Formats: sequence, structure tokens, C-alpha cells
Amino acid sequence: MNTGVLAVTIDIGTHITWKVFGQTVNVDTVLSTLVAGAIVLGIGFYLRAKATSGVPGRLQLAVETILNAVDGEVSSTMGEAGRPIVPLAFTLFALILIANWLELIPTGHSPQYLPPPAADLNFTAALALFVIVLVHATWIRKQGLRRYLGHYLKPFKLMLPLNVIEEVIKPFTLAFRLFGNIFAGGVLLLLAVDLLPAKLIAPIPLVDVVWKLFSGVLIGPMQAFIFALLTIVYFEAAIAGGE
Amino acid sequence: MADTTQQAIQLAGALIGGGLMVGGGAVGAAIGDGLAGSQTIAGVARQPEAQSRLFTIMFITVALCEAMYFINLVFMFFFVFVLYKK
Repeated sequence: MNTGVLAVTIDIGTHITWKVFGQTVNVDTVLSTLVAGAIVLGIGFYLRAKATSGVPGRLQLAVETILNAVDGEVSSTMGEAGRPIVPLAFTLFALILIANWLELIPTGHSPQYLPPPAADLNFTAALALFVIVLVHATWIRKQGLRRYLGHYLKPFKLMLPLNVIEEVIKPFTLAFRLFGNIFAGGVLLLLAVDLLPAKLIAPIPLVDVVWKLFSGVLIGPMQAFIFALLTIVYFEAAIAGGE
Repeated sequence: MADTTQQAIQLAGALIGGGLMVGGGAVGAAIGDGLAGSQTIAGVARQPEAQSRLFTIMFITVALCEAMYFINLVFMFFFVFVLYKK
């Protein structure tokens, strides 16, 4: 989508697409997701082969630190019943973190061959849908259909529309939060390249590097952490019957 | 003639709407972050040992407040770049 009447014409939101079975598939997002998933799986298999209870290497130390943090968070909210959620939360955090770090690798501007997958609403919407469907299924399974339907009427019967709206909004905010953060970063990079006049060619790589540092150190990990944390919080309501 | 006028009105409406959305979102996000930060400062001033725990909660709150702004930003892009068609 691009418009010709604004001050700059930037090409945002376009992806390399293929037509598969009549549907349009954003191939570059699929490729980035596969790369991020392969990295996460590679780290997992590598650590499993080399994990030692002696002096750990740096990678094992980092993963163990994150895993302990996730475990502590889950235990403090849900106790023992939340044990199955720890791998899910950790994997979501790792996948979104690596996916956001893919933006730091320069692979061309338009088209970008390895874009951050979260800059595509399909990726974040798929993750959010997966998490929410899992939460509701776990809810019905753990507490039975009657208590699940009854929770919509707590604390008063009049809160029914508000509770329904809250449950419907959850996947939307999960998807849009991650999408907005990463997508806006990409647009900012494109604007910096276009808006700075061509004479001042020197600051453009500087703006690029500074923004990528900021986004890679602060925004990427924080949004991954928020996604995982909200997953834990939503599961807490489902498993422990959040009052 | 009427067509370009209509296009101009559409463009003006889209841009003004986009500006309002981003402006309002920025004000809200800034106020929310400021409240979170001020409570953190008050808590750390009261009890310096709790600094790391309070910092963690502050970052969580900041990320959630900024999320509202980014959701607004997404809708601004939608209004300005998609709803306005030549």
C-alpha cells in the first residue's frame, strides 16, 4: 500500500507473495518464521546434547536463567498445577525474541528478504489465536463447562456483557500489541531513509544503527516478555479458577 | 470536479483522524508511563532494597501502556494508507 500525495512515498506492508491453493501467502514472513523456529529448535537440541550439571557454558547459563525466571513466575501465580505451562511460556518467549532479533540483520529494504515476522499481522494473530484457544480449552477441561460458563456471570450477573467483551478483546490486543510495536519500528526505519535529505547521507546509517540497538535491546525482548507473561496470566485464570 | 473534491475531503478526513488517534494515544501512554514511574520512585524512596522488584513491575506496566499507543498507531496506518484509496 502506498499513497502518492503525502510528503514521502514509502512502500510499507507489502510482502513477497505466492499463491498457494488460491490463497495468498506472504512467503518472506513464512521464511523468517521458519528461520526463527529453526534457531529455537537448534538451541534446544544443542543444549540437550551438551547440557552438563557441572560448570555450565554461557548458552546453558542464559537459558537456565530465563527458564528459572519463567518457572518462578508460573509458580508464584499458579502453584504446582501450572507446571505444564512453563514450556509453553518459555517457547513463546524464545520464539518471539528470536523473531524480533531477525530485524537486526539487514536484508534489503523493499522487498526485505528476512523481515521480522511480527511485522506481519498473520504471525501475531496466529500466535494470539493459538494461545487463546488453548486457554479456553484448558478452562473448559479443567473446570467443566458449567463453571466456565458461570465465570462470565461473576461477580455480578450484570457484568456479563463486560466479561464477554473482555474475553473477545484478549486475542485482538495480544495480536495488535506485538504487531504494532514491531511494525512501527520497521516503518520508522523506512521513513528515516526517505525523509532525511540526500545531502546528509551520513546520519542515515547512524539513525539505522541507533534504532536497531534500541529496538533490539528494549522493544523486542520486552514485547516477547509481555506476550509470555500475559499467556501465564490468562492461563492462571483458566487453571486456578481466578477469583 | 466533484470527484477530486470528494477525494480531497476523504484524504483530509483520514489524515485528521490519524493525527487525532496518534496524538491522543501518545498523551495517554505518556501519562500512564509517568504514573508508573512516579510510583516506582516513591516505592524505591521508601524502601531501597525493593528496587529490582519494583523495576521489573515498572517495565511490565510501561510495556502494557505503550501497547495501547501502538494499537492506536496500527489503526492510524489503517486509516491513512488503506481506507483512503485513490
